Amino acid sequence: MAQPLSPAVFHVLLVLASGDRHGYGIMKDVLAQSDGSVKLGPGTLYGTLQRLIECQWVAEAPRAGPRTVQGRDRRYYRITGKGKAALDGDVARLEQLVRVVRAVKEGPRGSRS
Amino acid sequence: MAPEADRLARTKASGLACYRLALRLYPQAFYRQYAEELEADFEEASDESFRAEGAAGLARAWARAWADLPWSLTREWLRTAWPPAVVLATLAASFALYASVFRAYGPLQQYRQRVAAGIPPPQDSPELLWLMLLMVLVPIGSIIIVSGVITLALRRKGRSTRRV
Repeated sequence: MAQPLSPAVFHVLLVLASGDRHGYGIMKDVLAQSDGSVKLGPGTLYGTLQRLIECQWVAEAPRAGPRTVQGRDRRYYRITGKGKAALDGDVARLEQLVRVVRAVKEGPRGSRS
Repeated sequence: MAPEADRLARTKASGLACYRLALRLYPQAFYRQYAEELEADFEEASDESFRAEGAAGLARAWARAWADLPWSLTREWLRTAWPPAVVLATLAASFALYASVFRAYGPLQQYRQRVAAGIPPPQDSPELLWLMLLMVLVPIGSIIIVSGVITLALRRKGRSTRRV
């Protein structure tokens, strides 16, 4: 079974799955997507991105035209096929977990004596 | 420029300058790769938070960025090959400090007892002076030397792992 992804990695991949983003965009979207429960600091975000790039789950997006924000040239990031597979794997794992929890909670009716 | 706007611009500039300085604490390779983006994010977050929530928002954005620094710095340094060197350097500096304080402790106690007993201290006590100097110079010197060596080693390491 694949290792569970850390919340930071999971949310970064999930944000990138919906399109290329620059660092600050990822930070804001992770915050919004997790209802404020995952607050990625800038250093943590770039550390995470560096690791994801190293294991080829994320890559720098090729530039299509100027990509400047407030006059600054920004680097955009894109999820790779490997990253999508890892994200899908973790989503499947979570779904399985939820199914197990539901089954345990609902339980076989009348099993208690 | 209105005085209020001028003050705000200066506050933001000094906040960014401090943050830029703090970013130098990251390992060289990480710094080279991401410092520019970290700065840009800091600036963008500052502007956006100030526009949305005023000074309180700006303070919150800065607090978030600063609060993240110790954790991410630790993580990034732990990812380098140098934690054992840092541990050894800390041990060496602590040992030097301990040894010099321990060496000076006895004579200092004698000196204190003489003074407390009303016996005038010797006019010239070069040993004491030397011990006091050692107590100060040995730890400071060893810390400077060890950190210098580590910094040089890390710079070299940073250059060798530079991304293309």
